[in-house]
Amino acid sequence: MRSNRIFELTRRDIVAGIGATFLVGAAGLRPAYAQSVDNATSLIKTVSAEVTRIANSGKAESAALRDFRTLFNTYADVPTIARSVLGPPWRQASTSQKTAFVEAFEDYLSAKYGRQFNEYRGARITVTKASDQGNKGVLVYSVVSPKGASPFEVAWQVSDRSGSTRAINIFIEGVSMLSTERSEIKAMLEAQRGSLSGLIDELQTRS
Amino acid sequence: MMKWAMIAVVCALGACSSVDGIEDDPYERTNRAIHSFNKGADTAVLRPVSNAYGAAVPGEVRTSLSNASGNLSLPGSFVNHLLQGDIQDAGATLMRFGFNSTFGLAGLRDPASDAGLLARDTTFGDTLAVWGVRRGAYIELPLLGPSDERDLAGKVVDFAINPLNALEEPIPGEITGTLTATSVLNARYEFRGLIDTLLYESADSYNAQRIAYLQNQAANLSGGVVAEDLEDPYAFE
Repeated sequence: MRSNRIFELTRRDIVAGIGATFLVGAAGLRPAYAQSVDNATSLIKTVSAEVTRIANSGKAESAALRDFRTLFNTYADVPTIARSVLGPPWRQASTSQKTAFVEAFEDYLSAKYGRQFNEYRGARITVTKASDQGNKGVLVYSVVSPKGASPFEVAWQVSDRSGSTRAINIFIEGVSMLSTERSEIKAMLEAQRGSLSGLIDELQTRS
Repeated sequence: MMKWAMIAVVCALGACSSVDGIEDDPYERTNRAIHSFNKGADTAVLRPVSNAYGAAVPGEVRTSLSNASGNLSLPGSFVNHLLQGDIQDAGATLMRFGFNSTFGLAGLRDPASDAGLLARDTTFGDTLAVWGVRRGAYIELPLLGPSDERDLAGKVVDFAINPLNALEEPIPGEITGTLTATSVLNARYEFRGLIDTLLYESADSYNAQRIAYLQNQAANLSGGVVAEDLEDPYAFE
């Protein structure tokens, strides 16, 4: 009876032991996963706070756009976005053309999206949830509530594959910036009869 | 049984044609012609009239008229929620309609939203999506703008199944027409920043609008951005 009880205790201990091993194992795995989600979430919280701060700063548009450009440069993986949006013509470009394109694209995109964000003076941005998407990074969801207008959803795709945690795409009400800009860049390049330097000039006049 | 009969009718209307991804645009030529017509109509009429409407009519009045217009769309949404098997949203929509039609003075006010009973609009196009009918090709409709084969078939059916059309004394067309018009003007006015950028600052406004419509609709149907919507920009070297 007693030995039986000891056996039971022991068996329970073994079960508990196995359970504990699993927990320790899971805990050992968890930080890598949780960390990327946490890092992405805190990145987007910082970006949201910065966007709100710039939009509310009351600065002239040109000064606000400069701030948006710094924000974009700091928190987004601009070279990867630029390369992916240009597509195949990237492979034919010279090193100096690539550098010039990334720079012109950064000006153009930060001006275009900065102008839109700048309209949301007094808006509140709330990060609602985040989900791990494996190789494609982390999706961070936020809701933008503008003053006196209906709230809308903005989702951010964040990745640390460049070596640091950076935004790589933004979806406004489901509409992907990468898809939209790929179409835009293609149209501009066609209007310039395929000339990359023509495209770079065009991007500069638009920013 | 009725579901399959309806799917058969819709497929006969053409909503089942096979389209792969966002790149595929079989009606591009026609669509682009309609797009430039629509853009002209916006420049000449909708944009200036909506700006004048927004400047002349106070926000509260504009919102009230849009509310009343939205209220009239609820019975149709109710039927579609039922067809989608979504009893919860059907019930909420019915309660919202009852609440706003009475306490909300025929829908001019929106006490239901204040009580947390938010609008859950849906169409027969959404019902078809829930039933598994594919989106079909993208279509830009004259004056009505972006659509697709499934959505277009849905519009036809929505008209037929709207309970308001079955009333013994239907709401006069002058009233429904005016409410629809004011709600269109109000939407064009409130979203003027986004719409003006899309239509007048895009290098290719047709494609920008097409992508916006298709991706926004997909996100609405799946309740937001999902894994399939993500691409891997690091894959391109």
